[in-house]
Amino acid sequence: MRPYDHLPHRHPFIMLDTAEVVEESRRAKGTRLLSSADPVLLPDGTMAQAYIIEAMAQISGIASGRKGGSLFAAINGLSFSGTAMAGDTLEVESTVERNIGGLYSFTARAIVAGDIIAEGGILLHFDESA
Amino acid sequence: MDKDTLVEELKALIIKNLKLEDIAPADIDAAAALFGGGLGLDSIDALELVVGLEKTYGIRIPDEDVGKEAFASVNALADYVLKNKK
Repeated sequence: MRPYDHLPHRHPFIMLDTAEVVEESRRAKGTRLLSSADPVLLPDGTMAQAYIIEAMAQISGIASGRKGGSLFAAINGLSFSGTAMAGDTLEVESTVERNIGGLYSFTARAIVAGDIIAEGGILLHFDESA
Repeated sequence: MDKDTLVEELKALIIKNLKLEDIAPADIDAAAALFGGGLGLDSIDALELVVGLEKTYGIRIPDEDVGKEAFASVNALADYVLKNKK
């Protein structure tokens, strides 16, 4: 699916090129191809960690199955164990752990070439009144 | 498990799950409001606690209304866990 159709984000802040729902309202995965001119890359050629987390948050939004935007409420116990560089395909996946009303907790991962480079908890808040 | 033991366990779980490093179990008044009170907990903490409690005790807190009742105080939480744990 086109992430544009499921997220309010637009270029250059949409972090995903592709997205796929693995399990409706529970789990999704997506990808981003990193080219050398990509604005998410730091001068050393690695993708900024903040943008990797944002990509994990965006796939979480799709995993929730909720329509409309959400606020990025918290990062929980998220750690990095690798980098993503120009030429790599960043894969992100997220699973809903739990929600209470509009507040959702996810476990998310970022993967490059089969290796997990980041993993941890993401919390998003969807406005229930919207 | 008797309620006093559970109350102490819950205080330790709250401190650990919410990383309240400056707070000792003795600082938590079991009868005081958990949210909007002295601990300064918010809705994000509530979700963290729900996940922690469900994993630890196999209970289910299905919605916000039940959550409000269960999270009224540590005592109320202990009653809820005793009534619902598997």
